This record gives sequence, structure tokens and C-alpha cells, in this order.
Amino acid sequence: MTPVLQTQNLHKTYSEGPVAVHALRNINLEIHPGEFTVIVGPSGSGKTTLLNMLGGLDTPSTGKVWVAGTDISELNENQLIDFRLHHIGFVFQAYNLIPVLTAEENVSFIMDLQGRPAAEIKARAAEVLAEVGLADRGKNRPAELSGGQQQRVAVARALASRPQYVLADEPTANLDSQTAFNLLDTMKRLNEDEKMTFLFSTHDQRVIDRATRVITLVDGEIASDERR
Amino acid sequence: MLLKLAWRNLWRSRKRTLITVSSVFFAVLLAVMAESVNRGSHESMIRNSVSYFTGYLQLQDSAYFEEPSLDYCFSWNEAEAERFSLPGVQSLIPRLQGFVLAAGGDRTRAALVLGIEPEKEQQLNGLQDQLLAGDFEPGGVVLGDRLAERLQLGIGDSLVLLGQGYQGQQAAGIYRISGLVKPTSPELRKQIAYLTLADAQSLFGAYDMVSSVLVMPNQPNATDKLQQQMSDLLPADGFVVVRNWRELLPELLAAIEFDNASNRIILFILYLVIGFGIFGTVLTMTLERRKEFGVLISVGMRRRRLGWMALYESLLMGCIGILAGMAASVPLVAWFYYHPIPMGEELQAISEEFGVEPLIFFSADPSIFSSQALVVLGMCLLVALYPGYYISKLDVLKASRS
Repeated sequence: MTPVLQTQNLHKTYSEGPVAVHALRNINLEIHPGEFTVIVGPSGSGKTTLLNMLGGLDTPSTGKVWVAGTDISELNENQLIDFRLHHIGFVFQAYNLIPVLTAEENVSFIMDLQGRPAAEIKARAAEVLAEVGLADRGKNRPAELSGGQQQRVAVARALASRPQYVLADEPTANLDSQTAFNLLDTMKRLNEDEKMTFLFSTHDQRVIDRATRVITLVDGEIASDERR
Repeated sequence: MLLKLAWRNLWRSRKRTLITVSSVFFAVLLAVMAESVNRGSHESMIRNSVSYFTGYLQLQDSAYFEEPSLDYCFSWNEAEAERFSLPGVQSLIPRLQGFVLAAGGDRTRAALVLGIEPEKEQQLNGLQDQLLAGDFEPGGVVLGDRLAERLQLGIGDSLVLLGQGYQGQQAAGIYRISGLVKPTSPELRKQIAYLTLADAQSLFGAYDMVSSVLVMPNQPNATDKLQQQMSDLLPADGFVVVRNWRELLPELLAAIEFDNASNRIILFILYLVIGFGIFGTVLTMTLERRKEFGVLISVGMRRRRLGWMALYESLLMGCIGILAGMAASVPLVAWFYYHPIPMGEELQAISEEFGVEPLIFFSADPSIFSSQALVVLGMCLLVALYPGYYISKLDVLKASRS
């Protein structure tokens, strides 16, 4: 099966004064469609840096990142932004919804930016909101929703445009246990029903328990890569 | 979508936006009113000057402007008047002007004799309405009230006029005082002696001649076009020329320019204060959304689109203030345009001394509104450069995790 995401000899080095900090060293991995992958590791192990590279938010010092056959490390800034828009879904720890838009408008936002027809956007937004269990909250603004509901809207926003994969950075960190369970169940169901590829960076054992693959980073290197 | 976002972003902090919009509103209102009064007073000064002294255009001998002597009169008759009665001309007012000594009893004063056609002058400046007593009549002279006082003469008394006429002829005549007039210009009150045009031509021996023909256009703002049309009708010898009021009243023009300059400085300070008010709001709106901007770029919004959104926010804020300012200033200006504000008694005396009407006039020129709107809009655009610059330099990773 062709990987949806592939890295080759990925290195990231930061300069902190005269000292070079190796945030990532020689990362080689392939993520296949439909995988529910979790990147774990202690603080400072390079999880967030790796996620940034895989999301096209940061460029590697050396090495390559391919997404669906495109080497995104070769793209300029605008090309990268467009690439993210069309191929990658993001779920952030702090939800990061647009406060002045309703849940439905937040979910439609990416599709709007993509320039899709209004009718398609409306139908898809309604469909995804229903999938995350918020069909009746579409007209509410983020401030009128609970934290868990906001994160569901964020998941719906990430999924609505049917990206190649969804990157989720500590998505459950701000949620209570029950809400986190519900959200993870929803994401797992979407993973299975829509064959959506998820890639998490997390410390949360509840997420790790649901993963089909767990990649452990230590000091910027892959210490283990376990498939379940 | 960008407009919708920008609009809603404005109302994230309702009070802040309302305060900023209010400042734009008052800026527009104050600027429009200030400019309207400024232009209104200038228009009044121009109106007074052209109707008493020069006309918007004037036909005169090419040498007359430099040396206003009777020797530089030119021929004027019905046929000439017919030829210059172009569609854009409201009236042609011929005048013959000369300086004489006026004597009555044992007193003598210098006087300005103005030969006029009273009906035409009435149309031009309401001269007959300024008569204190008597009337214009052939063979009679109408004196400025202060000149009559100085000569200690009244209606029915005789006045001797003595001077030099056309091409060195002796000008001498005795006239019965048929009226007293109080023109708005204090200078004229002290020295004017009105004769009918025919009497003045006879006095100066300048038969069928005039020293100037004042031209009043139907549309004062079409004066330049009319000047060109009249110039085209003139003989190629160049003896007679058409001058416009700006050439004829350079001191007035300079005074207006000076006044405009000081007014511009006041407006500039006003705009500066308001500009910083808008900038303060835009600055806060930009800095407090650093993370949001980072996230929007992360999920696929180009910096340029984000910059447009910030631009729309500034423009929307400015437009609301401008429209509100216009909505308030249009009826205010319209009211004061038709109802000029009377000056207080002290100022009234001063203004009469300077020969201007004792009223504060407002101009309703549409360009006042459009120019103020454009300036404020330009200011909003200028202010919007900051968020555009900020977004272009934003570190997306740091911002989205801040």
C-alpha cells in the first residue's frame, strides 16, 4: 500500500547560541492510510517538532517529507500553506476555533478557503457535525459550547474537507476524562468509518490505548515503532 | 467570507469599536463643518468682490490692469453686447471709471466716479436696495453716504466734478445730488459718486466707451470655460482682453490661500489625533489575535488573505464612522447654508468695517464631503498597513503556540 506520509533521514537542528540542539535525528517512517498512530515520548523528545515537520509547519534541516508523493520540504511558503489547506487537517490542544464564527461556520471554514461550492460546503458541514454528535449545535458560537464540544467542532473542521491525514497535538489535554473518552471514541469511529488517517502527539494513555501504532521518540530519535 | 469575518471581528469588543467609530464620526463632522465655514466665508468674499468690483470675468483694455487710466477705455455698444451675450453669460455690466475732485460749497474731496447702468447693477449687487434716499436719475449723482457727510451735502444740493477725461480732455460738470447710497464697502462709502453711464461718458468725453465690462456667468464654476469662449470672440489685435477674478483680485486670492493653509494645519492636527485613535484600536486588535493569526495560517489561510481581512476591518470601521459623520453633517451644513449664522454685535461692526456681510456663511459644495471622506478613508488604509506588515512577518509556529 502506498504510504500517505513518508519521511527520509529527517533531521532538525536548532542553534541556541553556540550550541546546536538536535531536535530530530534520522527519522525514517511511513504512515499508511487508515492508521491511528500515536507519537509518544518524554518532554523534549521531539514529538511536537516532528508533528510540525509532518504538518508542513516547519522545514527540516536535512531530509525529506513526502505527502501523497509530494516532497513538501521543497515547497515555498505559499505552496506549503495551500498544501496544508488541501491535504492536512489540524486539531490543536486549545481547540483554536474562530470565536466569531458559529460551529457550522467553523467547520465550513477550510472548505470555504478551498473555494468549494456553497451547497457542498453546507451539506458536508452538516454531515460532519452530525458525525461528531453536534448536529443541533451548529448555530452556536464557540463561547456557547463546552470544551469537549469545542474540540469536537475542531475535529469536525479538520475532517470536513477530507484531508489526507489529521494531525492532532495533545487533543485531549484540556478535557476531563469522560469528555476525552467521548472525543476519542468519535475519532476512532471516524478512523474506522471514513478510513481517515490520524497522527497524534500525546502523553494521554487513553489515546495510546486506542492507537493501532505507537511510535516512541527519545532524544529526537525513534526508539520504538510498535504496530498493534 | 473575509468581509463577514472582518465585520464580526469588529464587534468582538463592541465598546472599543464604538469609541473608535465615534472618533471617526466626530472627526468627519468637525472637518466638514470647519471646511464648510472656511469655504463659505471665501465664497462670500469672492461673491462680494466680484459683484462690487470685478465680476467673475472682465473685458478690459490689455493695459488697463497695470494702469487703470481713462486713456485705456475701449468702445462698447449694443452690437458688442450682442456679440458677447453667449449662452453661459448671465449679464454684461459696462462701467466707466475715473477719479475726480468733488466740490460742494467750500469743501473738496477726491471721488471715484463710476458710470453705471443702474438696472444692471441692481441685478449684480442690489445697488438700488442700498440707497439711503433718492434714486439714480439721468443728470443726477448718487453719493456714498460718508462722502456726502464730508462734503456736508444732501439730496438736491449741487456737486461739481472736476478732473481729467479721456486722452487729456478736461472733465468738468455740475450735478444735482439725486441720491445717497451706503455700499457694503467702507471705502466706497467714502469716495463713490455714481453717474449714469451716459453721463459719465459725457463728463469724461469718452463717448460710447467703457473702462470695463463685468461679466457674470450663469455658473460661476464654468468661468474658465466662458473666459476661453469670450477670448475666442475678441479681435486678434489683443487690445481688449478677458481677465478672470483671480487675475483681477490677486490680494483676495492670496488671503484665501493663506486662510486655506492655516485651515489645513488645523485639519491635519485633527486627522492626526483621530488617526492615532484608529491606530490604537487596530494595534490592539492585531496584537491580541497573534495566536489566532498563527492558527489561521497553519490551517491554510494565506497571509495575504489575512492581511485583506485586517484591511477590511480598518475600512469597515472607517466607513461606519464616515457614513455616520456624513449623515449628521449633510443636514447640518444644508441648514446653515440656507440660514447663515449672524455675527454678534461687536463682530458685526468689525465686519461692516471690512466690507463683508456680518454673517457666517457655510458652503454646501459636495466636494467638501467627498474630500473629507476620502481623507479619513485614506487614513484607515494607512493604519491598515500595520496589521498587514505584522501578519507578513508573523512567525506562525511561535504565534500558534503562544
